[in-house]
Amino acid sequence: MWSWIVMHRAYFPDAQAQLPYVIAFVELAEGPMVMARITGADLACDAAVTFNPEQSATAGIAVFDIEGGRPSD
Amino acid sequence: MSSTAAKGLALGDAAIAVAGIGSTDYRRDYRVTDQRRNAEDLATEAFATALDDAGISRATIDGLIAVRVNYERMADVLGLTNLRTAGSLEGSGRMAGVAIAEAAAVIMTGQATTVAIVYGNDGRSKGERYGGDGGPETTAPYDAAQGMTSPGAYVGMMFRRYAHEFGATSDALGTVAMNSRLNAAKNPVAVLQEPFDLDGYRASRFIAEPLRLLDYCLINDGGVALILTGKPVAGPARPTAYVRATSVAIDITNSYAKRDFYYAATREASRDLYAAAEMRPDDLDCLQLYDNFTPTVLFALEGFELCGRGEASGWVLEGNLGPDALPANTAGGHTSESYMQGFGHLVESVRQVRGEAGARQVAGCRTVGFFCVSPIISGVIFERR
Repeated sequence: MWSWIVMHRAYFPDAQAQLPYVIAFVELAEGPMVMARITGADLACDAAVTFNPEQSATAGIAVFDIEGGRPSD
Repeated sequence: MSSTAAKGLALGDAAIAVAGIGSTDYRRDYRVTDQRRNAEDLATEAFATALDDAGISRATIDGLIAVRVNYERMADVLGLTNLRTAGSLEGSGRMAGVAIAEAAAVIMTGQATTVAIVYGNDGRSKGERYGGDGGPETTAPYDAAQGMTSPGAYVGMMFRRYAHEFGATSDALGTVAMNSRLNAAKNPVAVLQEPFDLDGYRASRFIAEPLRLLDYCLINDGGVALILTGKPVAGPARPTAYVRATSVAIDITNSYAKRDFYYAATREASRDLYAAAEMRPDDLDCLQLYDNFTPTVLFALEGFELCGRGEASGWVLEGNLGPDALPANTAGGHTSESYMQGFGHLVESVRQVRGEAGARQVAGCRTVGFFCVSPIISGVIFERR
């Protein structure tokens, strides 16, 4: 996780109910940087994160979990 | 002339003067939004002031750069019938320095003698939000699907990382914002004039955390105009502001968030600017720093070599920015005076160089540096002659 923000403003019409939410800029092992949602506490720059295919498929967006703090769901 | 290695425009011999400046009463226009108000009207009002300030006939103007407004509409409304060149620049903050560089280049190459730069912004009345509507970055639609949007969020992302790498603190951002607000209190047309302290800053609400409301530029209505000329400036017996040098560097990728916070490209612009001007950072009496969001000020201070890499936070907290140190954003900047996307900073530069800045005048100001860090990085140095 290169960095992250916590979004407190609903720029999108359907975002109000989600506020505040975490978005991170994640550096993939292959090199590219991608925006993604993050689950787990202990947010920190350089924290290791793992792609969560189940949640990503459900949400229709990229979700990564903080390693070592992966929630049960 | 500059050394052959420098890509900046050295204008020492060209003697390109800012003959006239104009801007609207931002405070007046902030009191009420008005759906009938439009950017062209605001640009027109600013142009009329600039023309009067220059003391020249509109027939003299043979070049037009319209920003955030349509050049065809503006040429017609302003009655500019002697144009030899005309065009528009996108309505974004990165274009302020570009407009000066392009006007200077047009004059230096003989395409026109006298160029009007006109800018109009009706963003507040039109409900502009700068978020939620995609944007020019190539990954914007993907990012938006993740809930990522707005320039401030990208700058917030960079500041979190920058703080991690260099130990910068949010209090440094608060100090930048406080400096602007204290300056705005001395500027009759500044939108926000109520001072706040560091506790007030810390209590302001988050927008894209770690950035708070007080780190954000305003959204307001206004117009700005500058008239640049290569002709001898006659008329009123007052000091004249000349453009001494400009430089531009590009850092365009698929995201507004850069892994080095624009540092490498900003150093290129800095190197070219000081070489073209044959000056050093220490030679500047006053700074006008593009401050769409307060972290951008820290990035500019480092890239344009007012302090070392990673040192801007401490440098600001030590009190190096301000009326009793190095005056910066003397009109109140984007966070307190007005968000005219850098163009307000340009006219404030001219006012300071002329000695016309009223209660906020920097004593003995002869040189002002305008610095903008963004995908198009620019520097402009104005000097009094």
